[in-house]
Amino acid sequence: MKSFRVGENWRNLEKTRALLDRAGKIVSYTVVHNPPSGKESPCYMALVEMENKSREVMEIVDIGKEKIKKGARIKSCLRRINVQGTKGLINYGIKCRVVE
Amino acid sequence: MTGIVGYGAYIPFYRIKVGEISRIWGKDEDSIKKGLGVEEKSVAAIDEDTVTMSVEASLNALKRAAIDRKKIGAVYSGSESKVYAVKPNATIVGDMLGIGNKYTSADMEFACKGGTAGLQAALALVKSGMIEYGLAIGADTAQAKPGDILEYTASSGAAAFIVGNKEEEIIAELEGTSSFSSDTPDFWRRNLQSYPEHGEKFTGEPAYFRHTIESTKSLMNSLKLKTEDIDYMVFHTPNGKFPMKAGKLLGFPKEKTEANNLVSVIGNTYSAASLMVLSHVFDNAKPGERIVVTSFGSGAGSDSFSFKVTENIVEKQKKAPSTMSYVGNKRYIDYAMYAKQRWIF
Amino acid sequence: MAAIIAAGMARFGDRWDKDEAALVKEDLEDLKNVSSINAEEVFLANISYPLIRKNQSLQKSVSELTGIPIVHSFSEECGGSIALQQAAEAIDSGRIRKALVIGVDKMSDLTSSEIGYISALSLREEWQNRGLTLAAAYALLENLYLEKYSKKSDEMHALPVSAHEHGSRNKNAQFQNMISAEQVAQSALTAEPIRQLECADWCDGAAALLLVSNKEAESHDKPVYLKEHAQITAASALEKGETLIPAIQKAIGNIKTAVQEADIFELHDIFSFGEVMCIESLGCCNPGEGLQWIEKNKKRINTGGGLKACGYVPSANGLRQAAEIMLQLKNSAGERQVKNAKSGISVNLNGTGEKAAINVFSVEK
Repeated sequence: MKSFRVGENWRNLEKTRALLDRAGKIVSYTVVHNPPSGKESPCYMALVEMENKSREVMEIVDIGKEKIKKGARIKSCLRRINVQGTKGLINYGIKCRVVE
Repeated sequence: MTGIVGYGAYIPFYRIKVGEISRIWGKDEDSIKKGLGVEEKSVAAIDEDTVTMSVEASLNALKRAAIDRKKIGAVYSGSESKVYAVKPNATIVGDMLGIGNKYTSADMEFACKGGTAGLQAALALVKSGMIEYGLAIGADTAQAKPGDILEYTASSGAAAFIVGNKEEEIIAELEGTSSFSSDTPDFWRRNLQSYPEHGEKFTGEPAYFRHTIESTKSLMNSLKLKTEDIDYMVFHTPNGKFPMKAGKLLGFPKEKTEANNLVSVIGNTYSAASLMVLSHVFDNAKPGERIVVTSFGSGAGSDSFSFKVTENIVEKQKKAPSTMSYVGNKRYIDYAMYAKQRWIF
Repeated sequence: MAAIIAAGMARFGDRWDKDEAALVKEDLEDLKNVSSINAEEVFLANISYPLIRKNQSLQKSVSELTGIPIVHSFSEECGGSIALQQAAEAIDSGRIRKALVIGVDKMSDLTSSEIGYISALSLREEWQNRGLTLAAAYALLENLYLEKYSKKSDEMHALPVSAHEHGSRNKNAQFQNMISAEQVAQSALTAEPIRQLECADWCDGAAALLLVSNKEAESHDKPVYLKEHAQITAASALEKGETLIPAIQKAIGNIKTAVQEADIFELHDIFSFGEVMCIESLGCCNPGEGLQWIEKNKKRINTGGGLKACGYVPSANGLRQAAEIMLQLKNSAGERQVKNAKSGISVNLNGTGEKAAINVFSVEK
């Protein structure tokens, strides 16, 4: 499925780091019932407007009692995105959590 | 002067109650809770690991430290659940934090005291003037064998400490450190095995208590400290009973070991445990107070530190989420979801 | 620009027994029933070979099947429309007199665990890596729209009903069964609020067109002219967090014909909500009024069943759209004929409008 080329894994670091621990707010979200393999179902995906006004799509994790809704404030965080079996690399990337 | 300039903790969102685990294995919930002094433990999400948790804790430490992160000259990661068997957690975390490349680094393993081993090394590098700042992390997603007594307490979390030598930045001055190490077969995990093996009662007196007491006594003697001189006595927290007993054996009144009760609501975060209690103490400590921390790692060994809190702590405490704020931010899961998240099958 | 004189199709669906080359062969046989091929160059659209097979030998197979050694290759979702545009340009420039345009894909070999990831092939790479599927992308846009214009998701359900009604009269459609709005509402949720019966099926198929110059078209019976075309790559609706597709809006800016006045519309309904975005982006109605406009004009929208009933064969889609419009403009659409159809417009997209390809067809030059 997703390529785990070492070069790609390495080059992705900078983009991930640039988006880490950033604030934003939810513009739209959906609950995905057939996500790509390797992802949990259901999976919450959000279109987020970051503090610098750019737009990103990321998964919302640690869904708690608060309702996910448009305008909710989020903070981006580091999580495993996918793992290449038992022998290959682990890809880390950006997801987000709703914050108070 | 050498000491801590920033600290941070991270506890995952999910919890499982002791009663939910005992339900599956047909054990009596109340006697387990009473026997262990633990109510519930933290469980890492399926997309979390010691790297992601270490990054969270370290980001909190950086917020409190308020230093130029590119001046960090060492990163040590202590864990018994590091992500790759070969490829260090420490540099994945270091690069993710954007500290540049001018640092020394390694992963440390010493069961539950890999984190304090790293802290000791970072403090020594700073004290000797070889580096300006160091980052030491303790993190674990502890492996809990299904049905074993340790399953009730083996949990997940991370704590990070940044150390330096600028008086105006230090929130807790290092007064001294001392260790006690030996070859003691109380708890081990062979290569490629999923779960550790452990002695039963042997993990008590010859292991935890011997090393914890000897290391703490050694430190107190060398610094000429009496229990009255110490405001907080922090121990490694394998359960809610051992730290209290160790405190009692050393002659500390109950209030001074109270903070160790953190274990009752998050479980034993292994390499993060004593450091997590320390971060919890820092959240509430006042200038002038003295904190002694003694970790314990099976195999076995203890590291002890004495820290004197400075004025600088007051403005830094609120710069990042407190340990208790992570404790309160939780959602309960059942055993099936726990099994799925922890890859038991 | 150029004229279409003939079209051929290989039925869309899960064609287990045929690979891409065999589908092209079936397609060309259908085409030969109408016209001899003898084109100078082939314009071939295909993504399944590079995307899934990681191999490029289809071009050789096609040149052998057609006997034509010059094969231009197009590899993207709306590749069929792009191939058609490039063929028309080649003819218009005078370089060639006759072009064969083929679009073929085989998507049924993808497993259900792969399709989600692959469906996002036109979306931003980091988002695809973070697990965004095309369904989730459209769902994010639909939720924005429903909130902005105070609409309910079940108002979209009339769209696939209409698609299947048209498809029931099209022997080349993948799905020829009628469905009801209740069935749509009860079908499983895929990415909320989108339901299974609002999603087109990625499948197998092929379509081919023969193009000649306007001059040469005069000697043919009822040629259909590709009067104008445009393609634009732009920040997509999803990138901008709004529900009008900038690529479509920019593309029609390059087209002189008033696209809103076309008689026939072929729109990109990979998900039913896509139809609404297309029609509003074309400027046929005010934003927020797409559903009403579509309801009023449903008889002349996606008259062959659209992506939903015909099936989505990415590289062939644009050519299927052209072939359907041609059928309408030639007055040969039988049961689904729209009276007095003189002009048609097709909108074909990559992803959520990462690229838009618009073709304008007419009975007049």
